Amino acid sequence: MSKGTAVLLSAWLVLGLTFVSCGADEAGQDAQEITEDIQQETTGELGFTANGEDFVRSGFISSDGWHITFRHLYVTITGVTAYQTDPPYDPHSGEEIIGDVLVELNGVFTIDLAEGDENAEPILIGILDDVPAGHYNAISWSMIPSTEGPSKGYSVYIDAQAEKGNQSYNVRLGVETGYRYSAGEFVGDVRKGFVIPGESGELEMTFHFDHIFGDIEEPAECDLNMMALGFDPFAELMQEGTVEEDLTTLEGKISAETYAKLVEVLCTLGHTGEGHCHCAIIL
Amino acid sequence: MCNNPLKSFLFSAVLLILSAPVFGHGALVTWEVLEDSVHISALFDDGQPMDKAQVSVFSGAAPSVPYIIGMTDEHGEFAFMPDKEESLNWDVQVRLAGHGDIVHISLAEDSAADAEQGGFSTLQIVLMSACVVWGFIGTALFFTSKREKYNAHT
Repeated sequence: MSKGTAVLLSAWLVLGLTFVSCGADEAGQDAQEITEDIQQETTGELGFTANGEDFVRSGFISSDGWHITFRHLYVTITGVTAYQTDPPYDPHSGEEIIGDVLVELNGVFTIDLAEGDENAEPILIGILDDVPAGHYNAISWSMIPSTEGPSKGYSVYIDAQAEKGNQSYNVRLGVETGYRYSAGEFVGDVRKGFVIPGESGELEMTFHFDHIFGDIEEPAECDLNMMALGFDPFAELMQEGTVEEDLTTLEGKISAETYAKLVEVLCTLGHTGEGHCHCAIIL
Repeated sequence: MCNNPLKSFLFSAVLLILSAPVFGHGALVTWEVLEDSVHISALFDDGQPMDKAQVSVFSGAAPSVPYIIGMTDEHGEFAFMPDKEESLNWDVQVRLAGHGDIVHISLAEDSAADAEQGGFSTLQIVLMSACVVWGFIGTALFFTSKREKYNAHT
């Protein structure tokens, strides 16, 4: 090999190595700049909504054929906390949420989930200003007995009308128990929980009351209707066209099996969209 | 809306929490990486496949807008090839008839395996190897030329 060829080959190798190394450096630099942009200290707004879904607002037919319309459906919530978690929280783990960032909406809120028509937006409970930007991919809240108003003494208070054939009952059901719900990310039509500077993010607490009464539009053997009570167990307690009970009175009036089923089902009310919650009974 | 002292009562009561991990119904979505693709399997709690469920795939680089929208097959399965240049983190949401779940997929482990090679691209590795080989050849040529010069002098 001549000296000139050797020098030329060496030059090409050095040039090639320099070229690809610089390219890699630039790519790395770009990635670093993006990361820095994301990590830049910024804040935005985070709104919290509650949603009983359209069938609570417009009425629905239970798994055993009762047409139920809600005049009011009160829930009282507090301790609403949003988290940024990495790795994402898995409610099936049964563990508490550990967030890198967490923000809390202070206050106790009694909300009527039956408010509005079927097309109504979820009910805005409150907005937090100046929360750190990022993806709030977990939420927890407590449902506790109210201390005032029409739902006083109850965490959940249902004021409804149930009709089937020529039967029509006023229904007033109260739940005295307190619950703590811990959920991961909202599951629904859109992803929620993103707080971007200059824009408002949102998280939703969703309540699935079809878990209590079932839904005739779903197959009878589906898991929802298999775990639901329907309305018949309550109708059997009718007194002068009115069913007015709470967990304490129901315990002595319905079978132990049905009561246990009701207690279990109440723990599944809380969701975020279709995303499940870990539930703990706290009161 | 109202503020009241129940909150303090609540948090003291939390200490008395009776854990009740009840879910009752829903979807179970699992995933695995097979070669370059991610395979999703979606089942209802009762083990039935989520047939023709809506699938939304989100890239970690733009997580609020679906990167891919698709549908599971009759076995509740769905596969996609994530673009690792786009992101190493992918979220997949599967929904059907009011049931749904979202899973979070990190391809960082695959990337770490790549990094074990030194974090260099294939082209860089080829060129570095060529440089090393060329170094040996250069060294050999150096001594060869020296010996030729020595022989020439003697």
